[in-house]
Amino acid sequence: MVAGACTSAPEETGGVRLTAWTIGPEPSSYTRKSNLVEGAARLNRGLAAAGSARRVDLSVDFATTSNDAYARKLVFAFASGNAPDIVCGGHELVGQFAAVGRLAPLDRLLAARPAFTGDFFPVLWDAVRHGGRIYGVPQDNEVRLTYVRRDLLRRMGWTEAAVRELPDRVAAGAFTLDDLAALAEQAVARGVLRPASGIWHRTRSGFDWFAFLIAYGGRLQDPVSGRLVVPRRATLDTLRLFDRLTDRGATPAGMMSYPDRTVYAGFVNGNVLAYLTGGSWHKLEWQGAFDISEAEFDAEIGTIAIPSGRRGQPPVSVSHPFACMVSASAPDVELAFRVIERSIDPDLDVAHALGSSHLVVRQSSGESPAYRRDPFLRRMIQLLRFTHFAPNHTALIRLQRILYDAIRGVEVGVLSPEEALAFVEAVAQARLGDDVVVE
Amino acid sequence: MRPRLRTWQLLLLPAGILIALFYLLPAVVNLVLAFSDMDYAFDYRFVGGESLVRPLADPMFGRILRNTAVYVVATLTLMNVGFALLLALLTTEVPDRIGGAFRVLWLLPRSTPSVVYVLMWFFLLDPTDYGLVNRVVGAAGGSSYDMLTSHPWVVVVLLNGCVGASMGMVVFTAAIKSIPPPLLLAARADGASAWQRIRYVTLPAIAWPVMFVTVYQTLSLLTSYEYILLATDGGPFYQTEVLSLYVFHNAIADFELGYGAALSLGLMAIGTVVALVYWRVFGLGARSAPPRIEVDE
Repeated sequence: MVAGACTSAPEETGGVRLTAWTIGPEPSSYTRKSNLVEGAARLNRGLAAAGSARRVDLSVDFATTSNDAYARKLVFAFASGNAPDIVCGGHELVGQFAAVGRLAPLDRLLAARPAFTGDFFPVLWDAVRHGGRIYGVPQDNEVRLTYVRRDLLRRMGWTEAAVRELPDRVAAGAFTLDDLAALAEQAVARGVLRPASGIWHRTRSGFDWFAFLIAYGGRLQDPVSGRLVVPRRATLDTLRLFDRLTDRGATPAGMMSYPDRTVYAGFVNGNVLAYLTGGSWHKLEWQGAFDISEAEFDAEIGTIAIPSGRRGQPPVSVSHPFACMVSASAPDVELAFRVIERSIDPDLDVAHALGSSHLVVRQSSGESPAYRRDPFLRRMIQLLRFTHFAPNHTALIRLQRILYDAIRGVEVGVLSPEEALAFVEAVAQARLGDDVVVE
Repeated sequence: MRPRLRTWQLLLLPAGILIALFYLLPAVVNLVLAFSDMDYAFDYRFVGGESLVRPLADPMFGRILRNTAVYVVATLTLMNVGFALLLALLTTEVPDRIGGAFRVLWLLPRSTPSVVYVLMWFFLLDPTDYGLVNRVVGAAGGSSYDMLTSHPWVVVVLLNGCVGASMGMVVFTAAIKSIPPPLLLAARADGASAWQRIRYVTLPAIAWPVMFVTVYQTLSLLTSYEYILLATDGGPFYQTEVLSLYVFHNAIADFELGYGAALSLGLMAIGTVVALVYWRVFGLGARSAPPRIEVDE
């Protein structure tokens, strides 16, 4: 609280007490909280300078739990009338909560600020739109990608030029998922790596798994009906990829039961060729956790888009923009929005991006010299041309879990790819009903 | 004149309130929810028996029922009753100071927070070279072994059983210690071996506690999922997904509250049937002797 008395009702004068929840979960994203706090302070200074007696008293909670646990907490908070006034999280929360009237539409407030609205990368507004209306303000963006050990490629006989050209070959569709799988199998077969240490990946459900469906030419949502799609051919190809990886000894059958720390340590310590489902934020997370210098990281670890499953086709990345929304029950929706507005001032946008390996969301932030100087973030921005967003659909999380279960079933060998596809079709139709179409 | 509560009514009141709040009310709420399709929006819409018949169309439901049976039977027989009985018999055969110390050790898992307890198991069973077991195996020249993937049931049963066995151990130990010493001395005097003393004196004398623990632990295992959630989350691929965990995944992870409530109604029905079967098979009614002291008001 900067000044003024605290009340819980909107007033022309005095303070308005607001609450905000945000999440890392990685500690390096703490700026998601500090930017909100700074945004409120800047707003209060602006109000004071304008001679207004209105003030915001903002308290912010920063969660380091899993995204699933955070989403559960929000569901119960909304249901019990204890939701925070400002809700920050993955953009899929828009689909979940706007659909049931928990969020305040922000179109009017955004339309009144064309310079602010027009400064964001336009595609990001699609990620916070539901039913034609905008319910959130993007706070950061990231890209999902594949990390590859450059040092191991060199040990396999790759020239420095070949190592450096790999991202371009992936971008051109000349290096596919099959090529990556073959490379990993070769590394294991030649003894460069221990068995099942060719390609590792994330171990939990998430939107990342859909990247492979897209890589094999599938689509996730029918634009006309809005229903989610299970693309049969692309799903089967995805399942065959993971079957191949475990069957030929590139990936451990029990990968999904590995603790995160074990997975990250395996890759970062140079014992695994590729981390298939990485995120741009992993760089700083790993540097902090494993004490790796910038020079070491650049020399040993390379980044590529998730290769296409089809030769000659563009690779894939998926993005998961982070956004702040305003609860429909907030005591003062406009003031809450104005806190969010100031929390994403270009300098705060840049500070968060640099401090957490995320991408800025405002075009003017992208022009910042500090941001443009960061070679890693420059590479991440280039990957944005291949990116896809998760559909803002209420049933998406359930479909994610079904696909994850199927991939896990294939990896541990209890399902063949064909059986796993039948499982996906049957369970998706049984659990999602009209929300999904198999094509 | 206002009617006054009688003494027995006053004495029953606290327990009555607890039962009403924490047993009856949740059961009623569950019953009401089971006839709805309530999801994360928390809007109640009555759908009749639609949620109740949904498990029949659920492709995974049969597997989950089988898993539940495997989990309950294996954990109960091997650990919660079998191993608990073994612990009680062994620790009462040795000098009391050693037996007591050993029993205290076996109570440690029960007093350890679940998450810490499961993390310790992960530390042991980490599938890479970082795991303690794999380090030992590696030092002996073996290759790393992924127990959580290759034998998830072994892990789940051991993990649950090491906690669950402690309750049976305490109950059985108390029962064994309450056997009149002359009976055991007479058996010794008659030349009975240790096995014969256990078979013909101890086991018949503790039959009632064994039945009690069996019934209690069966019902307890039917509704427990905490350690499975933490250790395997029902995986790999539904191999350790039991009905109570499936209820959690549907109701809390996917927020299918109506369907989750319908599934837990099924769980309650299974528990009731199992309890009735035990009542009949164990003859619990006949074994519940009437009180020998009458109290007149």
